[in-house]
Amino acid sequence: MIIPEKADKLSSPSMAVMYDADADGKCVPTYKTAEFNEEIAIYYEQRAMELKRLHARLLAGEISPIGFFVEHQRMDIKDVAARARLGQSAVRKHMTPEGFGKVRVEVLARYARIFDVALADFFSFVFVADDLEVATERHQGRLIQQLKIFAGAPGADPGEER
Amino acid sequence: MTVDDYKHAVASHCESGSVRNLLAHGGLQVSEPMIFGIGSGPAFYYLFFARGPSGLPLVGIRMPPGKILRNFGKLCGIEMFAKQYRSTDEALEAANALIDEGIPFAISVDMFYMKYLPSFLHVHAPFHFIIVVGREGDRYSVSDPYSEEIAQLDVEDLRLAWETHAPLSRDNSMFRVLAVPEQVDWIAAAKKAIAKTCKNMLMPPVVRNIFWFVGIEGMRAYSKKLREWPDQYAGVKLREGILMSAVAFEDQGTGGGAFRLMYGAFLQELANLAGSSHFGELADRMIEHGRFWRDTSRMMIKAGKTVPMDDDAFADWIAENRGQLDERLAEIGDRFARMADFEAEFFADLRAAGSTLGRGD
Repeated sequence: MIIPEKADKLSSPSMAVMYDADADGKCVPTYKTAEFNEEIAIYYEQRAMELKRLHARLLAGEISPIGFFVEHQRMDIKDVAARARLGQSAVRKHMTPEGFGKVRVEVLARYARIFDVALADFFSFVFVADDLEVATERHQGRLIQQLKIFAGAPGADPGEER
Repeated sequence: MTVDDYKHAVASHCESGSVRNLLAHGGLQVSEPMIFGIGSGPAFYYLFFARGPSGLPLVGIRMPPGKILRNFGKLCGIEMFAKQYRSTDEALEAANALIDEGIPFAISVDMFYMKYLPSFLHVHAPFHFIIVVGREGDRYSVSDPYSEEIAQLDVEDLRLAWETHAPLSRDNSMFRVLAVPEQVDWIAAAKKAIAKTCKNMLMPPVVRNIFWFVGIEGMRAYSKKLREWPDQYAGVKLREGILMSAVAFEDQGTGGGAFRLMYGAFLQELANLAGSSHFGELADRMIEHGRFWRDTSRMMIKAGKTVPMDDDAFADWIAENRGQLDERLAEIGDRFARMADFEAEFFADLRAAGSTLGRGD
């Protein structure tokens, strides 16, 4: 998994069509900054902290990479099992480091599609410094991932991003 | 290839917004609140057995995905095409043929793979409605009511989003408008829709006892259960759960106040159409209720923000602040109980008023 050093931030205010009564009491839509935009921005910080916490649990052997992505993407086991066309007990097993070691590549590819990652993301964590950018390319049904790491200066070639 | 004359517009909600945009292309101009109201949009489900994007049990505040579209189409005499294809390959083949013919169509997808949306919206919600309006090689142009402009979606992302096998998803389903009537009897359609909405919210006593997690009873159950959150969740999960519940009520495609403000706008538009001051009063009550819900969400935000962001700090914090958090959640719970009482009374009044709509005040 690629983890940028700079936390993922809300790049611009979150906008939404909101209804409320105007001065004449007429309930009208307005396209404006979301009511809880500030909280949405804080949510990004929370997610960055959550990622660090899950990464530590992963290295400590408390969860497997499957467990990492299930937790990180706020999914429940029932949902993941239905999507992967597996039993819930199988998913529970795959969420442990012991169970993860026995997952077949074909099943791992199904998980990769659900989490929208490459198979390589289950096996390596790439920490990217602030001044660097990464462009990824996936091939052969996510079995192969190519990373291009380049300086984030203007004019740098990002390659084909996916 | 892009559909000619298609006009993209943002909307509060993906389903009612997509229907509005599709109908506008088909020649029928109608507001989003009218689609939401005639689609019998308002609902409440406390789905204690499923986990929502907030990490807490899933709460539904509108009809299940696809219902608004179907209800509205049926009551307004819209000729619709709706099909669930057996595979994504088959669905894509049909999609490409329609794009070549210049026909836009709606699909239901998992919002997680909509990379053009801000990442806080990248949640696994497999019932997000968008309209496909064009294609250039492997990139599809989509009209998403949450995006300011027509967005681009890779075929790989479209495939992942369109067929998820997830519970509640409508894999490979497609909807399009075949024909719109020259005139719609809005009053007649609204009367039937109101009767349905009231029935869904109030439910007969026996049904209410069995489905205690649906409608008004569901709101009452939620008002009690949310007080137990500190016993069931801790740390970041508790914090995010409270905060994201509030964000979901207010900012995630509801138009604010958990769709109740948009329903108020519908009743107001109906009052003007029917020339009914009584419906005008009902609209005012619903708008006030939507504002009360909005304020309640603000209180949830305040409560959620007191919980530390760092899991390591939680044990000490909760030991010191449990009483205060319980008080805040009890106050929020009381407000939900009040809102349930309000909706019980309101939908009973609306049902009575609906039966005489169009006969003059």
